[in-house]
Amino acid sequence: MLRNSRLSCRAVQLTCFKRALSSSPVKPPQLTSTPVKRRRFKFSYERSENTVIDQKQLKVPENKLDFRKYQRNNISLNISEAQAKKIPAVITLHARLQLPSSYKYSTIVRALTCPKEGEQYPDNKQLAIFGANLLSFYTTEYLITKLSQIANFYYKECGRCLYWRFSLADVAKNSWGIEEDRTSNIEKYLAGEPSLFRFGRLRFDRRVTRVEKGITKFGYPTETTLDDSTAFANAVRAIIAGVYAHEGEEAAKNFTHEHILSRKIDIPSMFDFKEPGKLLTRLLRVKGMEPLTVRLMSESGRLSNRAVFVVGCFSGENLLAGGEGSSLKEARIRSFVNALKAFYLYKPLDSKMPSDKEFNPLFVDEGEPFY
Amino acid sequence: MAAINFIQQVSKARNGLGSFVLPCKKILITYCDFGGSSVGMRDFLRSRLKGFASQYPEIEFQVLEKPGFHPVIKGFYTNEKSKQICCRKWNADVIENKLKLLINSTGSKLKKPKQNVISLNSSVRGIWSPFHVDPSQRYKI
Repeated sequence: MLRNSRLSCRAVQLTCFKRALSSSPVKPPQLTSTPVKRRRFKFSYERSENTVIDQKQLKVPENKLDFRKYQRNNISLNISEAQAKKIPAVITLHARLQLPSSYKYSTIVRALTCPKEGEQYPDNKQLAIFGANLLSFYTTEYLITKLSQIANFYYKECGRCLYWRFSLADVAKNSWGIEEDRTSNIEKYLAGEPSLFRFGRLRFDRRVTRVEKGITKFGYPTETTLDDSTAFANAVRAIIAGVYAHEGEEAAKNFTHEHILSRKIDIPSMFDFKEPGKLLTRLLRVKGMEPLTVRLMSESGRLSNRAVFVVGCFSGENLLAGGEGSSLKEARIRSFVNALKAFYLYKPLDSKMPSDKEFNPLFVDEGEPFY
Repeated sequence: MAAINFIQQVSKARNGLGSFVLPCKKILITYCDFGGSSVGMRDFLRSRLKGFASQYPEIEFQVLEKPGFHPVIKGFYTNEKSKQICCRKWNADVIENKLKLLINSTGSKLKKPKQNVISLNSSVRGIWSPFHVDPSQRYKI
C-alpha cells in the first residue's frame, strides 16, 4: 500500500511538472537617479576652413550695422554679368543645377574662386561660411525630426556624413561636374583658350601638387592653401549660399534637400556598440523596464560545424529583438545590437520639420546620462 | 565603459532621387574640312548643330577642325570619364542619333547586370529564415 501510494504521489508530481519560462531572478530595482552633470550640446558644428577674417582686411562702412556694405580690401577687379555669360562652363553648370533665372552667372564665378594669395577678384570665403551654416542647420533639423530617438551627440556624427567636406567634394566633382583649374597659363595660351574661361573652373591654392608622374609635392600650409576636398566643398557651400542670396530661404532649403540630403547614408551600419549587453541593461533600467533575459528560440545542427542558433532577448514577456549566429554567444550579442538599433533608430511617421508650414512639436529624446 | 563608436561614411549619390543632374557635361565634335568621310558631319554642323545644341543647355558643345582625320564625337562626363564614337562616312541623321546616345549615357563602362534590380537599399522584406517558421510546419531532416 505504502509503495503504491508513493508511486501515485510521484505520478501526480510528474503530471504537475510544468516547465517555467526562464526569467531573470533580479527584480527591477527602484530607480534612484543621481543628478548627472548636464552636458551642453551644440547642434551646429559645421564651419568651413579659414573662418577668421581680420578687421584690417575689411572696409567698414559708416553705419556698422549695414552688413551689405562691408567689403574686403584686396578686391579691386570684378567679373561682370556680361563677361560671366560668355563662359561655357558657368552657363552649363547653371543649367545643370536647374538654378532659377534670378541666380546670377557672376555668383557662380565667385563661388568657384577660392581665396588665393594676391587674388583681386571677389572670392567665396564668406559665401562658403554662410553656406556651411545653412547646410548644418537644414541637416540637423532634418535628422532630428527623422530620427528623434538618437541621442543628441550622434546628430552631429550623422549630419557630418552628409555635409562634411568629403561628401560635398563628391557632390561637386562627381555629381555636378565642377572641374579644377589644373593647366598653366602657357598651356592655356597654346590651346588657344580665352583667358576668361579659367573663371569657369575651381581655382584655389593647392597644398598638395603633383609635379610630375610619381612626384608629389607637399607644400607648407599658408593662410590660403586648401586641400582639394575643402576647396570643392567650399564651392558647393558657396553655391548654396548663392541660392539663398538670390531666391530666399525656401529655395535654399529645397536646393539642399534635393542635392545634398537626398543622398544615401546607411545609418544602422554606422553604429559600433562596445559591450552592447551592458548598454542594453542600463537602457532598460533607465526606462524602468524589466531586466533582460535571453532565450533560445530555435537551433539547428548544434553538434555540426555549421550550427545556427536563433536567440531572442526579452524584457519580461516582451520580445525586444532576435539575433542569429553560429554560436550561442554570437547570437546573443547580435540580439542585443538589434535591440539597441531598434530603439535608437526609431523613425516617427510623417514627421514635419520646424521650418515646414504644418509643423507639430514632437518628442525628441535628449539621450541617456550613462554614456 | 560601455560606449558607442561611430563609423564615418561618405554619403552616396542617388542621381534622380531629389534632383536629376545630367551626367554628360561636354561634347567635343571634330571634323575635316575637305575629307570625304566628313561629308555627313559637315552637313550636320552646317544645318543642325545650332538647333540641336540649344535643346541641351546643360552641355557644352565644342567644335574642332582636325584636317586629315575622320570625324569623331567625344562625350565628357561628370565621373571624369569620356566616350568617343568615330562618325566616318555617316550621314547627319545617324550622327544625331549617336550624339543622343552619348548624351543619354552616364559615362560609366558598359556592364551586364546580373540582377533585375540594382539598388543601394537592402531588401524591405528581408531574407527568408527557416528558423522563424512555426515549429509544426518546419522541414525535418
